[in-house]
Amino acid sequence: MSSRVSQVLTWFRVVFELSRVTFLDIIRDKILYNSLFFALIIFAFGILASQFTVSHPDRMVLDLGLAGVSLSLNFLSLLMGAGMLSKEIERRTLYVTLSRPITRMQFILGKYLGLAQIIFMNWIFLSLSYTSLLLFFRTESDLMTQALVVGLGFAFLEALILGAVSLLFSTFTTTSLSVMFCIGVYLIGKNMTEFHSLMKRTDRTLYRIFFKGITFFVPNLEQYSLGSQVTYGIAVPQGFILTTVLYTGVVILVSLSLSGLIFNQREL
Amino acid sequence: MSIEKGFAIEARGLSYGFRSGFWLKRKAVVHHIDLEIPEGQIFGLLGMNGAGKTTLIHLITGLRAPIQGQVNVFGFKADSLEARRLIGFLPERPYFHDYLTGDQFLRFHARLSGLDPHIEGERVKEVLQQVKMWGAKDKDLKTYSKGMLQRIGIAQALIHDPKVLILDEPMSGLDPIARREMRQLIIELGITGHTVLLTSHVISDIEEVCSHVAILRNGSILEKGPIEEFLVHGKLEEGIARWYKGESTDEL
Repeated sequence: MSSRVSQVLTWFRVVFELSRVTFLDIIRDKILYNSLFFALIIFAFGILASQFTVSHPDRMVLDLGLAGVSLSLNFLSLLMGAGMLSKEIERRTLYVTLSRPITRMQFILGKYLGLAQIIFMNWIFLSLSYTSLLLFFRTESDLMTQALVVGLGFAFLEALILGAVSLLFSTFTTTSLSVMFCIGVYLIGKNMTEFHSLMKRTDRTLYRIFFKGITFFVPNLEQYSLGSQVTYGIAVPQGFILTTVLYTGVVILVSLSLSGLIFNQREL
Repeated sequence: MSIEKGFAIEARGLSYGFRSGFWLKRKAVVHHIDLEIPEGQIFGLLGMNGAGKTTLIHLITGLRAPIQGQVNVFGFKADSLEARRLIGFLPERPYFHDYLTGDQFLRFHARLSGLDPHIEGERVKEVLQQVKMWGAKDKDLKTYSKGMLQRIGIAQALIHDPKVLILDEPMSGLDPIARREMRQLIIELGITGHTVLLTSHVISDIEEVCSHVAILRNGSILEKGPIEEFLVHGKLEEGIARWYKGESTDEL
């Protein structure tokens, strides 16, 4: 094996180790279990609401359940990502770790991959619970559609983006501010069409620049909510799925690169 | 300002300040420090709380970047990966990932240090035995006493067999027996050829283990040299009282 390949493997081995320890850290955090509990409450609420619905009661379970999966994953990634670095700094575990021959970029990547593993594990658990629920309560036969599977996949991708963005904020500000900024990004990202339309409608140059800046820097999260496509089982085009996956990759890559750059300059 | 390659640790004109206040202006805590520590020396940094010992340690370990000057470890810039491969660091009042067992914790640090996976297990066993923690290797760190945490801290600093050990207040909070064991361990590390830089504000600890001393006050080195020079007039405490002009030197 050439020394170059060996160096690359060692580099990733360090990232993997950091992600493993981050995973073990998060799995002990109460936020993880609260986020799961939150999803289960929404599932239960969906079942309850379906009892009071005259037509298509299954669709209530379908819509609210998917919202529960998505909100729970977002809640987890946002809160865990935002507190990740400050927790290490406050507990001073960071000093021993960073005194090792590792780069801060490796540290950031390790942290993010640890979070991504937890999001993935949660996603699997929630998706299985949700689909079991649908199979158990269904009265209609066409609930398990391609759109539902894609919707679940998109919920996972959205949580990955929010995790990367909250980690980015945590590299230069406190946990509470990171959470607030990230909620802001989430709300703007989910209403991107409105911001585009505001930008087009406004006459003032300053406002236009402001809205342009927002729509440029904030990731568009609207595409991750399939809404009525899932409710009515309308197939999602493959091209759209592919561009969304690529878009997710780019946003995560940019967020993590910026996190690495900022954290590199940060005084501990 | 040139840095020579012959020293284990060499600092020239080292300055650092923390940002504080609304405008984040820097408040200097380390001023123009020059320091040379040859290979194999056990060097003690003495100073009162707030003298700048920990900040100086963070500059040497590359955790902070100096605003002026330079610090090298065996000729490598302190914040370089090459320098960090040569350093083992125990921070003050260490807090580790306490959900790991002693064995898991050391393996984690071995992997971060790029230790060959084939010798990892052997090395973990070796350092655990060296710090007398082999029996507690499968216990979670959260069940460890203060003395055990300090010893496992030393073990993680030693895991990749570094040439330089930097120990920030290694005796802090230890009971007299654990303190004696820690002093003995540091002396043994010196005998085996390690360069050790340690800080303390307890004079007797430094007196017992160090061959050279520097006294830090308000971020500057007041005096430095072989410990014998400080012992000319009796105990180290009396020797250094000259520089502290009437201040209490029970604990620096």
